[in-house]
Amino acid sequence: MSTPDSVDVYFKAFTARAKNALALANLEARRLNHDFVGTEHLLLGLLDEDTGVAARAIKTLGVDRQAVRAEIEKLVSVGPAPIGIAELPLTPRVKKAIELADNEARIFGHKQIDAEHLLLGLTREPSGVAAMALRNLGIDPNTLQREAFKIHLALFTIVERAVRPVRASTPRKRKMRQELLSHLSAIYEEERANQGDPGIALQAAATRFGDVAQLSRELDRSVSLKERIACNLERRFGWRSPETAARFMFRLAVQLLVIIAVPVFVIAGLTVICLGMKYGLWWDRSVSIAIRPVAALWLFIPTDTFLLGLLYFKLRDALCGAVWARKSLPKAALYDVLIALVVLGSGIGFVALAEWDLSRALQSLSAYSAGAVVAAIFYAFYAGVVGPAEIADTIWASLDIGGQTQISRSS
Amino acid sequence: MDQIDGDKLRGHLEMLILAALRPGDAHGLEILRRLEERGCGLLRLKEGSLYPALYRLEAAGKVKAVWEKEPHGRRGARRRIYQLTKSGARQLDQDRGEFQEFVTVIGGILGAAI
Repeated sequence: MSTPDSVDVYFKAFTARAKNALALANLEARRLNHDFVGTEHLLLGLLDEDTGVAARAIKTLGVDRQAVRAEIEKLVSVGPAPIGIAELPLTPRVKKAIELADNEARIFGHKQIDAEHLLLGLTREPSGVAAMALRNLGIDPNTLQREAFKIHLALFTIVERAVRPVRASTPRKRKMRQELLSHLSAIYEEERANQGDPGIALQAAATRFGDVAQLSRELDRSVSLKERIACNLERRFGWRSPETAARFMFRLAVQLLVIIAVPVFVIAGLTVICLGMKYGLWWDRSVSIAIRPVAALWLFIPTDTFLLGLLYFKLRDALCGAVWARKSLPKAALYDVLIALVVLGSGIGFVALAEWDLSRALQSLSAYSAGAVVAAIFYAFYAGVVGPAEIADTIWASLDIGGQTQISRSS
Repeated sequence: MDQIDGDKLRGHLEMLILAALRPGDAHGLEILRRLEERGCGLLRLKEGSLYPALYRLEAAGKVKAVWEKEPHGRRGARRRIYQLTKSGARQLDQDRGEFQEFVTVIGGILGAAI
């Protein structure tokens, strides 16, 4: 998304708290007679905000609101005169911080940008005044993140403890996670409205929710046979935490190599036998003609699986942005081009190997190129549509929930 | 029913859910609220346990669930809205009938024992 200049356009994407923080940031900027809203004003706005998520997180790390304000005023100078224009523009750094906040929100699966995400976006933008001020005060961005998202993480952990051991397919578990998280968050908010203190509210909500081990068993019993089968297939061939993409695709490629080997050798063997019976010798040119395409398939399918699979993950992460990879459209484009090249190369290579004739293969270059382009478009589209959900699944699966009860043997 | 654990309420939970959905579609929290209002607050159900029951009903085709269109609340967590299917409505009527018979018979025996 291209970030616009003024604040108004964000309103739909922001929660009420985030909107408040931005409005307060505006006021802070005026107070310093600045004609722009920079990261430092946004930080002050977040600290001023009523429900005090940012203030509380920073206080827990041992730093006072006033200290932050003092540090910022040390780093910037007050402007010459009060500003007349109604809506102050945002600096490029603030826009960047908001983009980072948007990314974080989507990774957590939240539809709107909240104050915590903005705080995170600010700390992730290292060259801004806000980040400088926090660094000068000895606040580590990662620690601040963990503190601000403590409750989120706790809720996630409870849900994941219930869902992870369930033997169902990933899409089914995704539904369970979302639904249970939604419910748990709602009752947490209810308790919070009654109690005030987040820690106590969390306890109350967890108690109401029920024992996770018990819930896990009940969820497992509610799973249909179809899901069980899908789960077993996934366990065998799907991604297993905490594999890297490269390791996963390598494993898959090897599995395919082994699986395809069976029909390949059967076909090769039968061909040799049949031709041997027909012509009396066991090796003939026609044998190699028959076997070549099959051998080529055996070579290309696992190799392509590995290359295209790996490139797909790189493309997806660059396109959607993930915790472990920054969103980068240029990189995504690069990976997409590489995908096209691999498809093109595979097409030519396969025919060349099967026919044992490179020039014949090159004759249909335009057809393969068209195929390569279609493949690249398909991959990009797929990554864009399914990517965010896949990335969220990976984050859930990688969550450290400590000492999980296992229903079944495997991971 | 397939209940292995002998909890009294849980055995009837699916029937209660169907009854709670009769007045209209609802998401999980709302179903619980309706059950509480109608007096089930006495039996404290662990809220999470609602969902396995809903999933079983869904697998059996008694209820259908759709994701709601607008995100709810400031965190924008999506919820699924459950509705009774025709099969579910029939099941509810059947269950109601069976339960009433059950109550009549057992009640008669208990009454006569005084």
